[in-house]
Amino acid sequence: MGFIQVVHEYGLTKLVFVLLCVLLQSEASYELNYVTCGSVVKLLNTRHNVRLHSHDVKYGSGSGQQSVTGVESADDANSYWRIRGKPNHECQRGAPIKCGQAIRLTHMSTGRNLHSHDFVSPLSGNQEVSAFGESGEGDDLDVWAVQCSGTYWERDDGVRFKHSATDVFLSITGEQYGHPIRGQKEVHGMQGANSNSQWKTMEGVFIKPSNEPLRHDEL
Amino acid sequence: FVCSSFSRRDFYQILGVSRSASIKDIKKAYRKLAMQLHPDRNPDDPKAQDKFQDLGAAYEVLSDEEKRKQYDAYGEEGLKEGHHSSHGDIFSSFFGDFGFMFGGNPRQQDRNIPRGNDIIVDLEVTLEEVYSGNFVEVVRNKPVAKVASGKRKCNCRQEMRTTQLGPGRFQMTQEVVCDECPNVNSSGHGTQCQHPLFLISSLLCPRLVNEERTLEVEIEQGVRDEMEYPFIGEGEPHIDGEPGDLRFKIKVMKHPVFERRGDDLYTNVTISLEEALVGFEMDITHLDGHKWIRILVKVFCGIELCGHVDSHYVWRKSVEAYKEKNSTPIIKYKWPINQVLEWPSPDLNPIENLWYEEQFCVEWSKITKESRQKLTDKYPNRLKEVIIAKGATTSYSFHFHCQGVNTFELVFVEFCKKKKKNAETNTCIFFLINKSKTFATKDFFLKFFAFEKFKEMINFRWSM
Repeated sequence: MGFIQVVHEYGLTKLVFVLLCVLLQSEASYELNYVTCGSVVKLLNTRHNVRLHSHDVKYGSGSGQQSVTGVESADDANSYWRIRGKPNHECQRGAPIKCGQAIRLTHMSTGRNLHSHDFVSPLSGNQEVSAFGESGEGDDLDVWAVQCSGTYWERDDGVRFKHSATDVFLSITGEQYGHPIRGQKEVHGMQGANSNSQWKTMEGVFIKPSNEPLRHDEL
Repeated sequence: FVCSSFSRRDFYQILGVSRSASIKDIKKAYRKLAMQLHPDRNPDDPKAQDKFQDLGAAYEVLSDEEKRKQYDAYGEEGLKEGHHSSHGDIFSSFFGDFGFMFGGNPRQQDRNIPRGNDIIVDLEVTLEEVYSGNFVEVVRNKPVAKVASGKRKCNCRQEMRTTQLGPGRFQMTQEVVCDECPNVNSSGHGTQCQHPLFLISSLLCPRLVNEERTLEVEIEQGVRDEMEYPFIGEGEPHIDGEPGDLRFKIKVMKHPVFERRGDDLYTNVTISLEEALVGFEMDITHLDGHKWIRILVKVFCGIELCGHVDSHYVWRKSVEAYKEKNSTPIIKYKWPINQVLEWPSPDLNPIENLWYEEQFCVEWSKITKESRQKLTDKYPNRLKEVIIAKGATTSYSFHFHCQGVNTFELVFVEFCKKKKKNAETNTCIFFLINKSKTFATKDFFLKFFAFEKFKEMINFRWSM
């Protein structure tokens, strides 16, 4: 094959590829379809277009614990949550989460777990959702079950989070806070699964499943 | 366009791996060499760029199963044409977007350039992975500020302008005045785009777009807990500046069998009394999956038992065939210890001429008859009859040779309470006494047994 010919052929291929790249920009082509244990993700409420968020700001009412809100921005590191198994249960790194599986969501920056309890939320009067615990250790009220159709939690799916202890769903209904967290939306627990309680993973660090076993047999 | 010299390159040689290297070996070799061969690190070498390109090509081929097969069969020329990822992409998947710190040469810290947040991800690893090394693939989905060239108009408003038409004549007009803003808005949703063609194609109005790439995180062999591996530029973006970093923090999980102390591995092994006295063989599955050779302890020389020098000697003898750098497994015997149930009758006389440091009690009845019999059968020559004080029912004496240490003698004395009416078994107490004076018995016992120091002494008379 002559040199000139090679250039032409490669050039054309490259052009076609670039065009394809541009067209595919809007589509998501994932190398990993599942949400796995140990991954650190942002969760978007699909109805209200805000991301699950927490920060070092405490509720002024209710339990007085660290508040959990929904924010509009897509580049805030305080919207990252780590996916972990329930207490005392091993959740192997990279293992896809099953629909129905009980998990904990640990706030990456503060180390507190997504939590709900018998307190009233400040704006809407639903059940308060807070961030609780230290360095990832809290209590049984940190456990949520992932509800989705199918076998595994897929990144494209809209899923719901049902609080295992009180059966409420993690939801947003649009109420907004004022100062000092102006514009952020209230996150609470509510009965009933509907469009307000649907969430989807967005940005994050998704750990791929391992090919080999991570552990050998015991002594 | 890669117009590589079509001289044959030996990709295996470039990476410094064998032809049968695993994908893990290849990744590890690439990562190590990429750090060394990066042109920024070798500014004086005119061939640095070429060497670096070769490295990238070698990794691209050998890390892909299909391409590797073709290369193995037909060489470099036999590789089908396809899209070649730029070496930049490969490099970024190991180190992040903006190159990396050359160990001591930190990223330019310009205070005027704001930086996005860092993300720290805990990465749980098993002790097996720490022992053998591993790579973890992660997919990083992040928002990227796609900045269009130029600026856009924003904050437009009406303002009154005064213009002079001539001497003494002025005109007031209303004008639209706009500021200039960068083309990106942080929310990433529905920015107010002023581009005239916005309605036609949203691609022309840039904002934050989510991008994905796979990153390779190395779990280096022997890595310590809490060690961090940074990926530069893979953190959160900043609209007006640079993105932060993504750092993986290694969290070593507790292992059910082994414990790491420094670079040594420890494990507890529970053995029976017989095994402790006469030696035993054992197979242990090591962290990398294969079984250790058997540990032959022909003489009762527990690692801790003989004192440090001899324990190492014995140990080394046993594991000669299995050399493992940085891992000197030490076995500690954990003998099930029982409480003292009963003290022998108080009218026993104190022991004469018997030097002992400490005593250890075990309920003899817990040691099965079979074991006892085995002992006496196996070592008839070692037993000496002992005349014992009133109350003691039996005693056995064992001689032990520890390589490099003088013979020492252990005496086992049994005291059994007389059978009560309707009682099923005898309740017996078992004393283990060290008779040797040449041995540091206190340490010996302390390390090996848990025991109580008894106040009263027992008298014995020995026949030789």
